[in-house]
Amino acid sequence: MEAEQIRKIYEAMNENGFNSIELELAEDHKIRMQLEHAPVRVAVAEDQPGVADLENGTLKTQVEIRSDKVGSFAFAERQLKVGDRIKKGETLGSIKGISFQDRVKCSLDGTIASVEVEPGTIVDYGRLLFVVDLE
Amino acid sequence: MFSKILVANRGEIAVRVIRTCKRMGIATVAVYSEADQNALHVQMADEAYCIGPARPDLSYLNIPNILSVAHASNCEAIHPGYGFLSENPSFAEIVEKCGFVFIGPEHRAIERMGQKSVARDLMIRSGVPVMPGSQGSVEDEREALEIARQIGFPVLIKATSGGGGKGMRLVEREEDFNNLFRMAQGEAESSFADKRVYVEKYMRNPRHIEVQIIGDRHGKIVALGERECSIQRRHQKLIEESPSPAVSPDLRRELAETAIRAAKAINYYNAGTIEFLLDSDGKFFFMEMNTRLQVEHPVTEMVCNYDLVELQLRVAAGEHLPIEADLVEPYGWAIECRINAEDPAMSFIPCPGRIEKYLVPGGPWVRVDSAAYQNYLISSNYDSMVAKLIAWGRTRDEALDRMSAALREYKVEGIETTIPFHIHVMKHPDFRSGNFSTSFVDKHFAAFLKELNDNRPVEKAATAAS
Repeated sequence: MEAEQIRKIYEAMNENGFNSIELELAEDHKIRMQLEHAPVRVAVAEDQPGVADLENGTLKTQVEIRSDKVGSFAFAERQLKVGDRIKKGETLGSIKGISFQDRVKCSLDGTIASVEVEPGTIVDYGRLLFVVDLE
Repeated sequence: MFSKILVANRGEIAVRVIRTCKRMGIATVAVYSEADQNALHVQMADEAYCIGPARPDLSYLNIPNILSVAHASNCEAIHPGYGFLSENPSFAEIVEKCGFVFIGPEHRAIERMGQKSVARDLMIRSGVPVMPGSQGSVEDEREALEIARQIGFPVLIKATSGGGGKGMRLVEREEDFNNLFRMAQGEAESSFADKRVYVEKYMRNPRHIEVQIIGDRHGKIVALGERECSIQRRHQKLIEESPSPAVSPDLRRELAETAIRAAKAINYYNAGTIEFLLDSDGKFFFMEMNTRLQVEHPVTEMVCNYDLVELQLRVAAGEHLPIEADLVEPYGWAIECRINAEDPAMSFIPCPGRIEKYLVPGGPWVRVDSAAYQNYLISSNYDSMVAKLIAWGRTRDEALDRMSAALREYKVEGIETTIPFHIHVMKHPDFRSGNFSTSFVDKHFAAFLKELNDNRPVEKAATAAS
């Protein structure tokens, strides 16, 4: 994988506030990147993908959207389901705590791969909300 | 009575509160940090929510997240346990402002008792005996020295906003006073951003005696006898018992009346503890008030036959105390040993780690309050207490014998614990006689170490020597 691509993924992760990302480069070739708040650390797990692998496969990126707040979940305008396309900047839902309401956003275009919450779910710290296939 | 409460704590005290709630049919909501995902309180509660990372300031002290869970899960009240937010007056105030009941005293009572010199002055005005000393804080060195001369050396210089021995100096001789006074002020300023100090007479070899009280919201306050907590090391209690071998029925009544008077002076309700120093002539002096449930509350429960958490819940819900008398007389004797993940042979250094083998003692009159289990990881993020072992007997000797047997039955492998130290104390003639003070541990520690080394298994001693 090229340094430039890693940099782009890193930027996308930062922009979306994602802590980890798993990239499927081809069958049996996955890389996982994980961000610590500071300093930035890129962890590569499993096999080291070579540049050749990248040429065969399409780069499929999947991100997990997790909660860093505690409160009650509600969808935004629409109740999202698997396969729904979401746009950059779209508000997917909100988390309502005792003194705040936080919006859950995705700032890249993508498709919902799985929905892990229902309206009214009490989401706690670190809880998985959505998995999104990025384009 | 409440139908659902949140327990804003972890470890054995969270488990302790949940147990009483289960018995009373009250649903429980636990909160936990990422380090406590497998903790017993999480498994036992009806619902459990993660509120942040392992660091206490981001989880167990995270007021917005705790209140958000209470709100989202429809809790009516919050039990703070001990430690963490239990004596934080702002937390108690915010909890009530958000429409929940704080299972503890009013926030103003917590605040006043948290400031040592304020509490001291309040007690003087209520006719509660305090150690001779300055009235309020003293800023002037010469004035402070004059007070010290009047009350006589040795004296203690203590920080007004202090705690945990910080900003505290013992002055044995007059010529050292000025130096130590300035040091205490400096330490108070750097530790608490408040350089105010006060001067108090220092008592040599006192006993630490505390009175358990509980009040309802209708003005009734009851004393549930005393606890003897003189077996401590660096102000950390290790063994507690109730009643105290140093307290006669007359002294008990006097202590109870004084404690009730102190609590009434601040319109106190819910559970609280008033700590006194007792000298060898049976004279006692107010030390401080703890505005929460204490770690050592089980010994009181065992001799008074009341579940203190149940009483806390009842009075918080507005019920009248179900106790007529002002003083509940103890029945029999109860003793508690704190089993900590500390190595007593290495001057009680904490040794967190995984419990590989765990076998708790049982049988009649033995109680274990703990959140530990086999494979449980004692995290270095939190305190090192593994369990509280409590035994009851009709007499003190009977309670001590049962404790000795239970300690020998207790198996904790994978970490070092304070069990060997407790076994040693249970058979110590001075402890057995009931004639001891807060200097007990320092005085007898060398003998304990010798016994520990003499009895070490050969291979362990060889490893240590190599």
